[in-house]
Amino acid sequence: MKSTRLLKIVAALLILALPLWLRNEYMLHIAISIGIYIMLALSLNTIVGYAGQFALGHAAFYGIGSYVTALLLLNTDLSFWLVLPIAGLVTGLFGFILGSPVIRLRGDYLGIVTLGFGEIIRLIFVNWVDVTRGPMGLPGIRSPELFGYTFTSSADFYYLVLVLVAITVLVIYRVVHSGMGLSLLTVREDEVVAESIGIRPTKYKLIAFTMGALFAGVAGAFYATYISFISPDSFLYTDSVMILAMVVLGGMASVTGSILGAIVLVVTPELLRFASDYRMMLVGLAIVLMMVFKPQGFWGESRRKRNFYGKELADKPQKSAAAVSDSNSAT
Amino acid sequence: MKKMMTLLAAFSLIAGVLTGCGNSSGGSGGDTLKIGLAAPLSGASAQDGQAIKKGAELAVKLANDAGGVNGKKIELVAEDDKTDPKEAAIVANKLATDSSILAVVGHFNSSATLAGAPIYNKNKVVEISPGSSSPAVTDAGPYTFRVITTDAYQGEYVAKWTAEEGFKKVAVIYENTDYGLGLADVYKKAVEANGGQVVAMESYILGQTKDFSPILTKIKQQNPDLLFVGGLYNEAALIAKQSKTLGLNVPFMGVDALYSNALIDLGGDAVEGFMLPGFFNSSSEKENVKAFVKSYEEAYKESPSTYAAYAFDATQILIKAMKEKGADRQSIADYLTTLKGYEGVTGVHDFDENGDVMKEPEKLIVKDGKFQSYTK
Repeated sequence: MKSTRLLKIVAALLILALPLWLRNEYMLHIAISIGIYIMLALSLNTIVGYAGQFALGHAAFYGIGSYVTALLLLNTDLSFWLVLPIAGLVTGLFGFILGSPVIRLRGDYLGIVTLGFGEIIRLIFVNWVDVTRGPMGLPGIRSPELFGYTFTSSADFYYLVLVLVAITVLVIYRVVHSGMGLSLLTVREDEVVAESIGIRPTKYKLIAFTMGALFAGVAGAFYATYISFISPDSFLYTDSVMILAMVVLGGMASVTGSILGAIVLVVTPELLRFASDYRMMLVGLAIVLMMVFKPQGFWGESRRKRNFYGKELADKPQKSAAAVSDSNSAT
Repeated sequence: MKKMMTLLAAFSLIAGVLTGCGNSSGGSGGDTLKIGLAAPLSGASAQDGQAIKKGAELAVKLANDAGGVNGKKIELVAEDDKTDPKEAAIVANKLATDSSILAVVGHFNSSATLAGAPIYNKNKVVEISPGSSSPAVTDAGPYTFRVITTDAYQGEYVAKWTAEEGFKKVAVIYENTDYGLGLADVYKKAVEANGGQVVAMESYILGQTKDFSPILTKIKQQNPDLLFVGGLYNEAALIAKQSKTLGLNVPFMGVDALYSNALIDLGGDAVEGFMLPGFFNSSSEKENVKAFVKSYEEAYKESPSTYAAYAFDATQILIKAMKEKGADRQSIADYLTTLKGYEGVTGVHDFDENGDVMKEPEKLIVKDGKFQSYTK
């Protein structure tokens, strides 16, 4: 126990001091990208992994957060620290609005509706030229300021994203490991059973959608102020698929899984840059192989017991655990 | 919480591996001068991205065959931005923070250039775009240059040409992207300023609209005497074909992005008489263009596209800057800001104080299945 705590402290220090020993802006940018995608993957995981709602339009929430931030920073004098929660709340509201009508839909149908939602949002970005400047995008978005200090270097943004990721992980971790998380899982496994024991599926699905959208909006807000230029090209259908891939690859319904998925899918294409033209093909191949040989993802459902109760408890009642996993695979 | 620790450890490990890679590739420089290339080598614009890579590679090869710069060989470091602004920011960070990269040719699409521009400018490295014609690139920063004129410049040029030819009622079809929208906007204003009238403005969605007959039927009712296409060659060819089928027999005008053999291959008879300004004309009689076309065909067994030519010019300008002013980042930037009258294969280059290029296009027309110089 002592050695793990020591390792934990060392790892935390390494991450905190990353800009000091990783003296390379490119590497820092990758680290920041990982941070953004951890927020996106985690927020989608609440919808897809925990609530079991197959949503394909996550880039739309990301985009709404970005555009709200960009428009507020460009057209008003509001501070970024005020704009950030506003962007999150507005996006959360959109999540709630989208959630309401699609509650009746399940599985593939829900996938198609959310896909359509993603496209509608993108087309609004493209065509509402008076506000969004259409495909020309919004350049020159202000950087955040804190007590007169303006965020300029990659290290500044690294610490900002680190704080945001920490908040996201903490909130989502607490929520999904609470009674609410169990209710969400119950809704996912069987709505009828959930209703029979007094869990209202509608309520929990809406909570998942709203919370997922809110954190995606926060990620979008950070992206807008970090890159300082946004255009509809950044929030395409392929981005939704990429985020979904992170969730699935990392393991559904697992906080650790989403973090791992985001890291792997951001880092792999960079490691494969030497392959130039064949790069994206190799990434695709890696994903296919991964799914063939480890369909539950890096840190998926098979570890759910451990995720919930810790290693000791999960390993003790060997027989009943096996029985549960049998009944799981049967459903 | 134990898994969190594993995670943190894994994260630091990966980051460590990445630094390792970064250092080794950065340290190998010394005998070579490196130029970065950032283009969409995969994804929706891969065709143009590959053409850009070939054009730049050819320029580097020719320079190396002629002895390089002060006895040093030039090396091209190509990175893929997938036309995605997020990816462009990654590539920009990678190239700009590698101090052995002296300048960058790229990016292709304007949103990628704009996403990369703050990073290049912060690191004070020249990026010279072969394909970003959006007016917004003008204000992108002192280290952002381009060898392609702005949409505004071309729109005004074609509008003037429209007036010279005596067309009064013009219909505009444009693709709904930064490029199409910017172009259509400038063209409309300039036509009206020259005493013409824009009777229809219709947009289509790039890569999705294949049936233009609803738009064309609407336009036909307005009886225009000219149709201006603010888009790319695939759609322009389809528009020309479908308008002939609908009995809308008017002349067409476009901009230099339509200059591609694909326009003629796809459009056939329907694009005969299509008028457009061109900066690069592969059948030109100019000596330097002939030499470029010949060596390009020898190297790649195909004829060069417009963007290959732009990339060729951009790379040659960078190499010239290294030769004349010195092979470091600041010297290249200084040289470009003062460069006037550089004769490239896409025309004579003068950079203004914003890093935009000013060059006079040639008037072209499609005649007998070929692009030819236009004469009244």
